[in-house]
Amino acid sequence: MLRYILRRIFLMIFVVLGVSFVVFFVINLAPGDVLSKIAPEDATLEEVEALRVELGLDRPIMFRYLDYMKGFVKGDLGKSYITGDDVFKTYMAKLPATLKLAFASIFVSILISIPLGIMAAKNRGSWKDNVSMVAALLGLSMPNFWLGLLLILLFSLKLGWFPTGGAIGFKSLILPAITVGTGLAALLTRTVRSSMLEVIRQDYLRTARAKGVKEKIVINKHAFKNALIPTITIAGTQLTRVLGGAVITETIFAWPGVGRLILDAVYSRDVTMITGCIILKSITISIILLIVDLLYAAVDPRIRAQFAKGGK
Amino acid sequence: MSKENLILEIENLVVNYELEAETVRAVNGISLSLEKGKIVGLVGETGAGKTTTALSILKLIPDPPGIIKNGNISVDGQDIIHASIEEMEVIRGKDVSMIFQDPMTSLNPVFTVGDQIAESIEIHEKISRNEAFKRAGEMLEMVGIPASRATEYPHQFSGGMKQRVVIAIALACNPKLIIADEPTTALDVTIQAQVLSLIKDLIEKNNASMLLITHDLGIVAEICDEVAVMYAGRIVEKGTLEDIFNNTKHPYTEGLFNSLPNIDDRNAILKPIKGLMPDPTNLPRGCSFAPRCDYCTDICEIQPENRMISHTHSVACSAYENPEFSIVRGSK
Amino acid sequence: MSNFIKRKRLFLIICSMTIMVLMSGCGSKEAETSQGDAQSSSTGTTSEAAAPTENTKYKEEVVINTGAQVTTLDVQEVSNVAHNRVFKLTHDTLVDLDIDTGKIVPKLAKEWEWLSPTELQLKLRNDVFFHNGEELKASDVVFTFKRAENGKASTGRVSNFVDVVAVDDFTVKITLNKPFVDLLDNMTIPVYSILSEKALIDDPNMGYTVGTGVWKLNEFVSNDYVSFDRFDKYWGELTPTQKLKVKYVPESSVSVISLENGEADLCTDLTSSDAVFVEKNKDLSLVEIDGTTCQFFGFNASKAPWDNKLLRQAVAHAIVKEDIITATENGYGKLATTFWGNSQFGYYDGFGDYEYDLDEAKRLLAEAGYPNGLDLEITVPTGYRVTTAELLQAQLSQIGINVTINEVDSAALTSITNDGTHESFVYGLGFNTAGDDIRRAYSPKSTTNRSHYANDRVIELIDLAVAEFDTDKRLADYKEIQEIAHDEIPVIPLYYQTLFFGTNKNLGGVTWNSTSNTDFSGIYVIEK
Repeated sequence: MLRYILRRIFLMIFVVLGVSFVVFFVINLAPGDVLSKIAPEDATLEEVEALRVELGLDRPIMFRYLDYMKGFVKGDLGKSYITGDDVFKTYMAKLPATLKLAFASIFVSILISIPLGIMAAKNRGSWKDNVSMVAALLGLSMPNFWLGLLLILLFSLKLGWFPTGGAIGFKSLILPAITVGTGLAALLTRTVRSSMLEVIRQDYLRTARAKGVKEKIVINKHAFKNALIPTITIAGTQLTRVLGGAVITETIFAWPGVGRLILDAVYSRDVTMITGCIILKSITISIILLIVDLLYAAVDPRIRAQFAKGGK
Repeated sequence: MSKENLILEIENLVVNYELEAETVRAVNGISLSLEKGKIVGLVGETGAGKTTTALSILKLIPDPPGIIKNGNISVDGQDIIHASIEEMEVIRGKDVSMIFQDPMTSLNPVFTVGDQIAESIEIHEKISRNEAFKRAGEMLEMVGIPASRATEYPHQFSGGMKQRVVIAIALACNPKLIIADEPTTALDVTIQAQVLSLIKDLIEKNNASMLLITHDLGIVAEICDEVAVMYAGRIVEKGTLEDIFNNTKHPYTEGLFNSLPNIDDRNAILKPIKGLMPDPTNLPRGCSFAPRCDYCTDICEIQPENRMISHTHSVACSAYENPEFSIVRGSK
Repeated sequence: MSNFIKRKRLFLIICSMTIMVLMSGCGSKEAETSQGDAQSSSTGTTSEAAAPTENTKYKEEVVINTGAQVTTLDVQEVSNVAHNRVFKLTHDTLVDLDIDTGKIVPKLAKEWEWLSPTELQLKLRNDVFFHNGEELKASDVVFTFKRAENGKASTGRVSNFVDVVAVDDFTVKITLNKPFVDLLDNMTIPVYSILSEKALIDDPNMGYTVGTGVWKLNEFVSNDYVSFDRFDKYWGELTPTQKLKVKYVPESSVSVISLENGEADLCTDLTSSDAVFVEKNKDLSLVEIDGTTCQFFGFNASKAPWDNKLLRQAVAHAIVKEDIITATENGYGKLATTFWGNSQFGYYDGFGDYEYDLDEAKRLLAEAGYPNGLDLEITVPTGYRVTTAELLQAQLSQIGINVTINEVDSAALTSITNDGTHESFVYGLGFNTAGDDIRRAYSPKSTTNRSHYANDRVIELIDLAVAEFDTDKRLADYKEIQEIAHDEIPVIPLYYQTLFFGTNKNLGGVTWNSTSNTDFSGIYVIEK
């Protein structure tokens, strides 16, 4: 098992190299640069050029990339051109908020999708099944900004139960988590439903019933634990999506997460911030995917055995 | 046979599978009884309705689309047909348990074998989880698997050992009636013998009864006391082992014996039964076997009645209206 | 019913439900169009929501929602409206501007005089303390302007400073390299705020947050909020509020909701649609200010064929500015006829505007050699200005000009206009109050002169005016610049954007001014 984990960490290095290369070059291809945002309004053209030279932005891309990687290897991700803050520190300051939102959203989506998916599978073809599927579709179709605003209007304005935004306190997490979670729930519900449908036909459920196990337990324990594998996969990919930052939700709820950080950096062409954040984001995602894979092993003993043999 | 002595009584059982476009008539009025302490073999080809009959006893027919249309089943005097789900959950695993055909798919891959055995014990007996797990270990020993393997998962066992685990699960709560649905069909021939003798031992030790479903006449000869032959959802011949093997009456049963290769005469031509089993959605009005029967006459166009040959032996064939009639096998 | 029909029915039901949901989703996000024409708005005045009396109870903490991010608290690093609002809370400049009279008034400096056209001497107040308890001395001013040489925003501002000297503890003399009449006007901008030498020696990394303002920094969470505590040893009048928080809320409709909710007391940077909403709510007040950002349609006057002024004049005759204002800003906005700040020294609009005359336009086109019209590319940043570009496209098609719109993000626009590869563009320029600020619009060396307009006489006038102490002569110089610009029309000014603020009805103490001089430091909310 340990060897497996080490192998995965080793592979991450290649991911990081690839990502850094692609991102660095793509950003530099876009027209415009960070000087449009940091040069003062009254600067003359010469002063802007001087600033460009001072920041080293006039050098060819390849040299700049190599300098960047030299720093990266030492653990230095550079400083933001806009704020002057250390990129790593800035990202890590925003990461907890994004993590909180990501996990809360997945939690909400699991809360919705598991009961709904199991119910749909159990009553396949009936009205309960159809209603669940339509509900899931609804969750997917509702635009985030619309749902977010609607929730604010109802729960913040009319009822006054939750704040309109910001990240202070547990209450402020609820509306954003619901906004993102309902969108994720759609795919997860369908996954739970289809993997439950597969499992429901399996012989070992018949064995369980023949033992006298209560039907509820047959479904929720015997069947569901087997349906978990595809569910974990999908939940894992959903989680990685939200870990990149839920930009729209972060904007609506003024949630200080990583998504907006990267978006603002892109608009200002803050190369070091963009590259650093995306690299860190891909590392975060790789780690989460590793945890998801380890979760499989926890759930399915056959996979545990495979990992123990040293690799997938 | 006195009623108190019966562990299982089935009367006129009719089971259909009602699909959208058609209805499958799986079981068409069978009657069967089993005395305590006896082993009855239910013989027939694939599709004869044997498994459906077995599942009906535990009310495990998938519903929809399966429906028990008619009939009575009682286990040790207890009515099954009208029992509620809760009552069935008590009976299953405790009074009646089942050994299934395919060991590869009968065990849940994500739970240990110990857990799966212990679960049965926990449900039916008021003991703690640890106690149940210990008992599970004892059950494993009883079927010839070291108790230390109770913490392992199904994928770590071979086919034969998996089947032993299934047997351990079935026997964990000392049921009075065991239904074994082709328990050795999926196993190697060498393992078959082991498992069979294991089952026989355990039944004797626990003083239980067994309904053994099989298509293998050899196995029937080894361990059954009585035999019932099923064809197209009906029992065509019923009797003791002696009756069926040495005093075969029904043409179908004869056909079954004739299909067996003769180990003594390697040059003999195999004699299969001509034709195929009828479509269960479209059964003929008269005797279901008639189209394939060598002895078929006009009488066969009506449904044959069950005719007692002796107080243990009955046959459902209209040809015996004629007292002179006899089949080839066994006639001198 | 056969299953096929059952399934088809279900499919239709699902489809219609989905469509309904999607449509309702679009519906509720649509902006309400208002019936407003260009409305007159109040000029900058102190707001008097309710005059405070002896026994009034005040809210202990006031919350301001801002739509623009604060990336740094170093006054010398960034100078724009969003940051200057925050800087004015914690820092003071040597002098201030009285918006009503347009005159320079004392702040940290209580009096001053020009010893010569290049020497300005100022006397400081002797009762000012920094947040760290240190007394303000002339040495702090010297230190501040020395440090300013390295600040990204401040370096250009002190580039004409030869020397800054402390004559005594409370007297400072600034020597320039050449006469610069607007020095005092410029020094009202927060980038010239005075910093504490001791604070920066003790903490070179964050010491710049120490100022002399009525608010002391409490907490700065980047991209989220900045919070302040009242500095009770402030040299001037204290506000009754004790705590202040400036929150970043990027979505303006949510900002208004939080205002309605009571979560915030003031919202800045509202759109005109949100303004309508605030107006309708009787618990809120709407403040409208004539902005000094001029939205305009400019040409690249250095590139053929639009270097020909006849073509530009033709276009000016074909534009209907009122329609643009209605479509882009729901009717809010003040018509602009000259490319100058509407509160800037030297503003003159007496030359009138180009009349809407399609025949004259076509005649000018023919005279320039394009009787059948020609193509024109308009570069525009994403956002509301795209609407303006679309209207221009429709209006110019009337005279045979075929417009293609090139929509880019703002960083790309800067790069394109700097390189001079554009033909025309729609953008905005914010003007300060100092006359010399016009250099940014008309000097070919300035990055904000995106038209690359270079007229020798105009350049000459700019340099003359900046050294001219005679007010009348200065005004005449600036008037001549506008006359030339009006004729050559490298830039067609469209309108000055109206600024909207939503406030709690019981809010007061704010000095409203859309240039960097908006002052929130005296803010209070009366508790009812």
